[in-house]
Amino acid sequence: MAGWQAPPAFDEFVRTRHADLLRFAHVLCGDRYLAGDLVQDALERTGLAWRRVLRQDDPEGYVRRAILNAFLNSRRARRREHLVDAVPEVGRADREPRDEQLWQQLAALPRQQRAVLVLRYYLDFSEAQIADQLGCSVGTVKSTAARAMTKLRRSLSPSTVDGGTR
Amino acid sequence: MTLDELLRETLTDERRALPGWPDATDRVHAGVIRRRRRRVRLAGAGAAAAVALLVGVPALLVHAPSSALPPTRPARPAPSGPVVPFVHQPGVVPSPADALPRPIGQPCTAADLPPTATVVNTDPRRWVIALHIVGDRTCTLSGYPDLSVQDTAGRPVTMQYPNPLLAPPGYSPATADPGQVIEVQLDNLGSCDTGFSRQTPPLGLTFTLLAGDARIAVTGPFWPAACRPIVLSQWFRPWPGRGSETILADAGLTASIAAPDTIRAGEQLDYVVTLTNPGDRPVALQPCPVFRQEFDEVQELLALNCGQAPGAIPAHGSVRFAMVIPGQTFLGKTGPLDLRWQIEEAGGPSAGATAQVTVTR
Repeated sequence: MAGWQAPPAFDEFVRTRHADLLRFAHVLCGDRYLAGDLVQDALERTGLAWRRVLRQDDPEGYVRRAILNAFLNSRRARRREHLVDAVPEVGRADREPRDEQLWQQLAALPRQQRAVLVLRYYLDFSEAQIADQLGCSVGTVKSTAARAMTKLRRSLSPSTVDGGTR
Repeated sequence: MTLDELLRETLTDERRALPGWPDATDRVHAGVIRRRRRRVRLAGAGAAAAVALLVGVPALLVHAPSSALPPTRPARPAPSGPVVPFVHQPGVVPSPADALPRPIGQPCTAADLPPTATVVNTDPRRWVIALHIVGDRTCTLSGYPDLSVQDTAGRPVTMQYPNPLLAPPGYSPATADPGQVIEVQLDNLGSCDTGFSRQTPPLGLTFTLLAGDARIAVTGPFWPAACRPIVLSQWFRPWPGRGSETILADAGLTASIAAPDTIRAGEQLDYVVTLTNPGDRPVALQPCPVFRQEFDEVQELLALNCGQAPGAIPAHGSVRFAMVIPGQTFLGKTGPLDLRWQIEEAGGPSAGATAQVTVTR
């Protein structure tokens, strides 16, 4: 089989954007190893379809969507997602306890709910943009976000969060 | 701190960043090459299986009694006619609020209006003519249009219009955004004050609407007896549930899907949707219908490629549209998956179809 010649623009994209994509995948799935797998997988698929991806004018959006879809659909992600009583990072001195509590509760949310929150609060997407990314209606985004927020509010201690959220 | 603020702070915390890969391009290259090898191996295996089938099955058929033949799937109807190519353009489900009365804007000019307009219904007593705003701004058409009618010799034919008693099914003045529709209604309720008779061939007349500096030729199925006098409505934006914009909702269109039985995971799924109009009137594809395509749990809301489609689905006719679902949308899924396609309108989903496609590794 003939070898694969990576287009220079693709190499440049991988070099400059993979760290941000890793971070996005990390906040999305809450697992640094799974995040690496998701990004690797998405970049490989993007490399194979690079010309088509370029035609869509938003390679990063394409990879992000691939990461999101793989996270929402993959069984591997489901297998790796296991809740523990205490997350390993919790012992680090520079972590604020309320952050860790919330991080842990985010990991316990269903993946669709977590994805909506990440798109909303990490990428600052509007509800319409989230609906477009997830391929659902704005109403579904709103109800999913509301369910996630209710669940988080219930599970977080009152001292961690004020009542006055949207 | 509110939960909103806490979420934003937690998710954007720099400490969530992961260290980049020192060998990022190398590891991605290696992965891509691995995938390509796997594809080639799979393709080779598929080709071998196909050869085995080609050689083996006919031999089996020659020797097997006819009663032992395996059941076969009914053949799909052979595709016919051109297929409108797929364009990935996100769609927005129209809102009934789109048709609410709006403030009067800048008057529409020739740059905002199309050179031709179409009769979007064939009621023998009434025409509804739809103009689509082709400019890139919102504009308003107020009052009554001027109508110029000429016979085959180019002589003007005097018509009795307008008629203030003809109340249009919409809001006047008509303010519309680019791509939206402004309509005018022509009825044959008045009395004829011209010299031409009921036997005048309808195709012998040329109808031109005048709106400001725009001259808009009217095309479409004309009345069988065009001698009848014409009365005009004011320009209007159709009410929700009325007018050419919602003809689609009332048209009873049906949809069918022609899709491959099997596809490999990660491969693009190409299929064709046929929209059929069972009615006696053409169905305008304006505003451009929005559809939802779903493959397993993934949904996309897109607009039909109306730019390359005919303006309407003819009575008892069909239009075929190519559809594409990128392989990325069903990563990791195998087995039979449901493919759903559905037109989405302000009043909810309408014409739709489903099929099952098996995804293999």
